[in-house]
Amino acid sequence: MIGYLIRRVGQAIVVLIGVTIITFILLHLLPGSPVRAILGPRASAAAIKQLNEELGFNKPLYVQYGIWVWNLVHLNLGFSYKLNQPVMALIGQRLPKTLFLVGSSLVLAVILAVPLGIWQAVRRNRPDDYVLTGMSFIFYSMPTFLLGILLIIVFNQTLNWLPFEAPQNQTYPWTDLNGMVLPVVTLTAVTVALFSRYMRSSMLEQSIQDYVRTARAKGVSNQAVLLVHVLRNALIPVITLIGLSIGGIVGGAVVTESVFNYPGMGLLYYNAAVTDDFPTLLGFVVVVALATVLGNLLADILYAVADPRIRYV
Amino acid sequence: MRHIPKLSFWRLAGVAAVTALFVAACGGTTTTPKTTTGGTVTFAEGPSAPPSYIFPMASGTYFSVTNLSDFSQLMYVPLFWFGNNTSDPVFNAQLSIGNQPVFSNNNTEVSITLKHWVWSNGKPITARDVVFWLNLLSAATDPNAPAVGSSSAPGPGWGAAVPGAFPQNVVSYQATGTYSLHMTLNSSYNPRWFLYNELSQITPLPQQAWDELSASGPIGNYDAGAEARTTLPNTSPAEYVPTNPGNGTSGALGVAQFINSQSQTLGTYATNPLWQVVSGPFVLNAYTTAGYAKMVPNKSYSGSPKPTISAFIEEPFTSDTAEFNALKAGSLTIGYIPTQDISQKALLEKSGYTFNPWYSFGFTYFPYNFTEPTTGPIMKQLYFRQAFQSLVNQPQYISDFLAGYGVATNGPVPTYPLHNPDVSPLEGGGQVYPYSASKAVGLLKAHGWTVNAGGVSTCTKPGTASDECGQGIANGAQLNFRLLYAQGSVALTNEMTALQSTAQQVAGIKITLSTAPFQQVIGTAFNGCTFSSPCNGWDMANWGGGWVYSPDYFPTGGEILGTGASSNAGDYSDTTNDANIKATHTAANDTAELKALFTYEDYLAKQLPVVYMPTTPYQLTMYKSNLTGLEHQGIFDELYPQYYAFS
Repeated sequence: MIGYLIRRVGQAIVVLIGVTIITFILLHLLPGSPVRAILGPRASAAAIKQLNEELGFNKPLYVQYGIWVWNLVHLNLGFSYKLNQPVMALIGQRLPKTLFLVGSSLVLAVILAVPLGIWQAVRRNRPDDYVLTGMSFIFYSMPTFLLGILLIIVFNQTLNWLPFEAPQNQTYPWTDLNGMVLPVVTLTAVTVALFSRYMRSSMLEQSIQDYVRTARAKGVSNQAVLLVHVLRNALIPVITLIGLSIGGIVGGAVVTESVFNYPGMGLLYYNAAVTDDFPTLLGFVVVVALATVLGNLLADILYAVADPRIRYV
Repeated sequence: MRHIPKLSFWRLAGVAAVTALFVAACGGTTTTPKTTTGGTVTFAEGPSAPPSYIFPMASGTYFSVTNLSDFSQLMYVPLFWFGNNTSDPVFNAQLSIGNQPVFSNNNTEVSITLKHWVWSNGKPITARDVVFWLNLLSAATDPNAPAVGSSSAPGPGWGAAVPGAFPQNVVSYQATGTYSLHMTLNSSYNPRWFLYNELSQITPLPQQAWDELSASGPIGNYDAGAEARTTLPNTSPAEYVPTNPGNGTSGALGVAQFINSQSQTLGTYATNPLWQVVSGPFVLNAYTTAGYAKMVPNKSYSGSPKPTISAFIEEPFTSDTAEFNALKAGSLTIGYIPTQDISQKALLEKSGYTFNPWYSFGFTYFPYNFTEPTTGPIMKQLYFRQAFQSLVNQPQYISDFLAGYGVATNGPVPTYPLHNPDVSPLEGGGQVYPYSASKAVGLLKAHGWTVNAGGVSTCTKPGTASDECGQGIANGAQLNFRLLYAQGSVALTNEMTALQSTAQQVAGIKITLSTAPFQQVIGTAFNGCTFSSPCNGWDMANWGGGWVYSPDYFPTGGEILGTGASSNAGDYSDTTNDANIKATHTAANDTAELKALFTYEDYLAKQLPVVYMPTTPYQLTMYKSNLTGLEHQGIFDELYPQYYAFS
């Protein structure tokens, strides 16, 4: 297992280096120049030349990449000229907010989706299964922004029960949880719909396996078969989904953040992309790539926990 | 569009008398809404555009309406204020710290006197505070000064700096008294141009509180070494820079760098003692790095009127959708309707909002890339530009794509506000080249093109005679262009698609459209294309905007349409135009100045150096109907919360 982990960590480092190289090259292939984006259309040629030299953009690309990696090793992700802050500080401000929003909705989604999936599998092709399946399809196919706006219309503008946005004058959103209800519910609804469908299918697939028939033949109770044997194996696809979601948790939910005025990682990335804020884009890519790689590693480890037959060597 | 001449005093008095008689005859009485003191005004910031720089001397990176007009200027009043809350693009003596400057010696010298205003800490605002700004500005814009910025801390600068212009066109400046100073210029300049475009850049700074090199160091006169000036070599007239600008840790540049570094620590804005010493009507009370800013009245504000509201809050929004949700929920005092939601205007009006489009003093256009080796020679032909402009149906775009909120652009001087006296009779009289498909086709045919409507027109009569295609255009050359435009705006997409369709169907001008984010379009268009270093990646580029005359309030084209100007995207070059621009800078008196300006704008209205497009409002403002003081909005995108009150 330890050897496996060492190999996986080594692979992760290679993947991360590959991601940063590709991103670095792609960003520098974009038309225009980062310095023009920084200084704006009124800047003179002399000012552009001076800043190019100050920032090292006149150096060969591989030298620029080397400098960036050196800074990265020293936990310096650069400076966002657009937002007038170090990228590390920006990520430090946005990441907790995104972790709170996406993380809490993911936890809620798992808590709701697993029992729902089991229930639907047990009650397969009965009216309540049809109702829940229909609702899953509705929520899964509904664009996030539409669901968010509908919730705002109902719970803010019609009933006036909840705020339409996350708190604005607080550093951290959990200091005013009322403002977090609608964004969390929006994300949770969509995620529950997805996870419960996977859970239902997986439960149905496992319930016709030989080991289930064997357990029943041995006289194991229906409840024990379901919760001890079937559930454990049925969780593997859900674990995969959760592992893949780690990158998403860090990367944020740009549409939900946009609708509910919630300045998280997703919007940081989006705005950096449209304003040619290269240091922020690179910093974001590094953090999300790291989270994605770690999420996949975590999922692989959890497979072995969920299914004793899986062994890594 | 109708040109509205200036009203004389007597004509104005006559209008007032007639109005009074009419009101009396009708038995009506005029009522002014009774206002109350106090209350909080919440103002919506632009989508993902929070204020992020507080130091009024903002480098190009931070030089924006958000950081200056809507944020730092509420705390740091420029020496000379422009705009007057009634949409007039004029100097406003009442809101200025300085009195109207006096020019002398054939307009080569300027004397400035200050009113007796005070800083929020009770100290007087003096000529030393103006010299302090000039010293920091000279050092920060000196091309010979050592580089200060780095990738982890960009250095100080000034976004409005133009090489050879202010303060390099100032031979010397010195305080001549507590409240007076004197400048000697390197040439004779039009007083209005020099006031509107050069002196307009000065903002007094509290020297007694800010002249330091570190937060723990003592206050001194570290900037003073920059006052001595020397000439830049090979300049005519001679341009001047400080002899000793300092460096990142000493002298004026050191002070500028220290204040700049403090402005890069956003989390301390509301607590840093530097920012608590202000001259403006408001002082910062709370600020988050996400852009939430709460300002409260400066009790020592010397200007008039003084604020009556208890707080002015600027709220950040991640998107215009989020802002519109806030507007519908009624949580904003001043917000805006996204263009795509304009159909809900009536609904918001019913819920207690008043609609008021906010226009800027600018014009909308997109440039031709005259340096493009293949298409440049075609776009250099005046007949082609006339034909192309004749295919831009501005009235249709305004009515169909902009919901009626737009003004046709006829030339480089803004036609809004309607009573702008700087608009010549020609430009004010309407488009010189209004939409006319037959004229466009006729112009092309008359100059050697075989027009293939629906296809691509070709040059079949090359040469330089008056009925031939023109210099540099070969036989068989095609009217085939690439037009890059900014994505994200439905209105702009509609305009570009309509232009593409009309041009090809009517005149056989093929336009291949492509889109990119706004910043990339800007990056492409302003990539330093010149004839010695041409760009061949684009023919036309439309970022969906144009130019706003601020803080260069006099609407001449030295920065955008002059040969070699830093913001001349397509490298338009015309010696007559250059001479016309220079005349607007050097006119000796009001009469000569207006004549020079009319000559300049009439020439460009006919020459079409760019494609004129409908000028749209800065934003479609919605404000609470019980708020007074916002009936007119700042023509230079500036705010006037000291006028706000609730009725």
